[in-house]
Amino acid sequence: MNPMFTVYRKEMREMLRDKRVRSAMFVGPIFSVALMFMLFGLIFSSIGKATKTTVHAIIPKHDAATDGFIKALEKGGMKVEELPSVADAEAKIKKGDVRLALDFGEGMEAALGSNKPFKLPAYFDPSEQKAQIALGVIEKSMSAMNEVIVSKLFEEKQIDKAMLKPLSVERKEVKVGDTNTNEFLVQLLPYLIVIWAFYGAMSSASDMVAGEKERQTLETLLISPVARREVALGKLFALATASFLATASSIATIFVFYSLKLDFLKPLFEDGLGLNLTGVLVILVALVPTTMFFASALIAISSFARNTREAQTYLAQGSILVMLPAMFSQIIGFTDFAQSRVVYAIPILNAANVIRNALIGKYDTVGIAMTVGIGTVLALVAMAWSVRLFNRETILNRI
Amino acid sequence: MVRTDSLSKHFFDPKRGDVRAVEDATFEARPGQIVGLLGKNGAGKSTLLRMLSTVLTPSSGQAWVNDYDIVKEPTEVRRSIGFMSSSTALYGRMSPREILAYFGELYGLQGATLKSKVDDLISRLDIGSYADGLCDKLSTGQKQRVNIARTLIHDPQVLFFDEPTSGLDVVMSQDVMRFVEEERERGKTIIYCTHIMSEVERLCDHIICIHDGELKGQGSIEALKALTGENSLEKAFLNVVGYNREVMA
Repeated sequence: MNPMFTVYRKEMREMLRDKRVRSAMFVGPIFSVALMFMLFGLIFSSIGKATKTTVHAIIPKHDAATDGFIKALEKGGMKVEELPSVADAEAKIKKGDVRLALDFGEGMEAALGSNKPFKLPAYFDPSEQKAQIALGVIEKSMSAMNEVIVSKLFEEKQIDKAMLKPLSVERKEVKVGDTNTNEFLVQLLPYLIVIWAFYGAMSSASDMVAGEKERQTLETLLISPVARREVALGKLFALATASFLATASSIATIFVFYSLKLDFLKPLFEDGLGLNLTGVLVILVALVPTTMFFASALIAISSFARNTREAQTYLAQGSILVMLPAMFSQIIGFTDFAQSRVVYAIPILNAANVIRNALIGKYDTVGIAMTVGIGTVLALVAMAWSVRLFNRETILNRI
Repeated sequence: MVRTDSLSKHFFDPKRGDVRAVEDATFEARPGQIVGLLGKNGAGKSTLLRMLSTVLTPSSGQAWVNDYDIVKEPTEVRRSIGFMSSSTALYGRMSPREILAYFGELYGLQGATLKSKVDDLISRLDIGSYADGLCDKLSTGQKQRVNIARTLIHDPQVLFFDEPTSGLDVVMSQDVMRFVEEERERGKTIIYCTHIMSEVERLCDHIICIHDGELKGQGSIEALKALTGENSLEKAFLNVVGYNREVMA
């Protein structure tokens, strides 16, 4: 049997028996993707229910205009509770008991009767998101009422109702990708998949060489007739497998959650899941060189470090370098950069962008080729670097 | 057979400058012989063994292990040697049987040959009762037995022992020494590094005293005693390395 495979098999066996590594390869990716689905599912389904939240109102005198508006709010799904005064409303907003309070005063009916505008004061804490959502619903209800009032006026003046909106945009969506995925998933999933490709391997990297130095087991390997290059590559491929398995775990979790068809996840999957078999294959092809690059760089760091502690310090710093382009992939859709091929020249970000595009069913062949090509070159350079470090005489006792 | 000719190892330490870890070491160890490498901590014993194991490249000089040149034929040298140190750990998440099979495969053993070799060592070193449990759960003594088995898996002609009894209790130390003696009887060439005089007196046929990287004297125990005029090996060693003179000065 090839000695490199012997080393690979031994490393895989040890990794799979290590709880920490199993957690980074399977539990972590599965849990984080699952948690993301659950949190976003809950958030999205609660946004739908936001109209059912309670708003407060100060109503000194009930009249037709006030009651009509309150009815419109209740029709929109809101519950309206009365408060005695503005001072009381402000105090309760400060305490967090009230999110938004409308002060109807006494002039609404009179103003509307004499065709004069009326401003309805709304008291709220601007840092409270739910208050902002409630304000949006109120403004929507008010806009519907405005339309009714203005169309009555237009009728009296014999003006065409269509002139209520003299200018408007007519949306004509052009379908670019084959499929659709929720916008939040498109932003978050590439980040999670790339991050787990790194963390899946990072958990065992420090142990693999620096740990062996510390325990002095590395010496027994170096004294064996196996070439150091084969030992280094055996370890490197094992680490790349760990990285790949972590990625596969996170992708598999996406499909599991999609197939569960849970009620609270419906808002997330109302456009379906953009990821199909082609998408998965594209993601895996783009990630192979990335995982090899991660594994090679991690082995090099572990070979350079004197002990596991030193290795972990370097690895923690290295993880920041991986996180930054991965994090940028979350907001790339808001920039013109997403359309530029330059993205595919930036390691890590290019893989994240290929994943992002695969989620919306877009396959840019040149971009995918650039990602795979640049990733392969980087992986080969990092591999050569790690083998070189492993071949150094000072690997056992760097001064 | 191990033979060295003016073997030296120098390296640069940013704090200490140019360090001469081993200087002009010339000696010979023959099959069926235990050669004791005697010296205090940091004397250069481990550096010398690491050069002979091809982990370190000599700065100058030559050496042959089992008639293979350590610089020109490192793979053949590594195939011929077994190395054991008390500080070498085992893979905690593997069983002794798995570790033996792993190293056996690295040394080119396969199939039935590998299995029979592993079974033989498990039986010979009395590892059977814990051969399939994880090494993390083993006692120090049990781990050391597995370490010995690992060293012997490919039946090497030359054995290097680097302070193999350090940290072991009296009973286990006796076991280790018994295995070393058994291997001598099998005609192996053995280099045994230690600073424990009683072990040297029991095991070694030939002694090399090393101090600050230089071989200060070598010969049989009796020859060293006669050379220094001392009646104990400890005093003879201190005399050879110049410790008495340093104290007097």
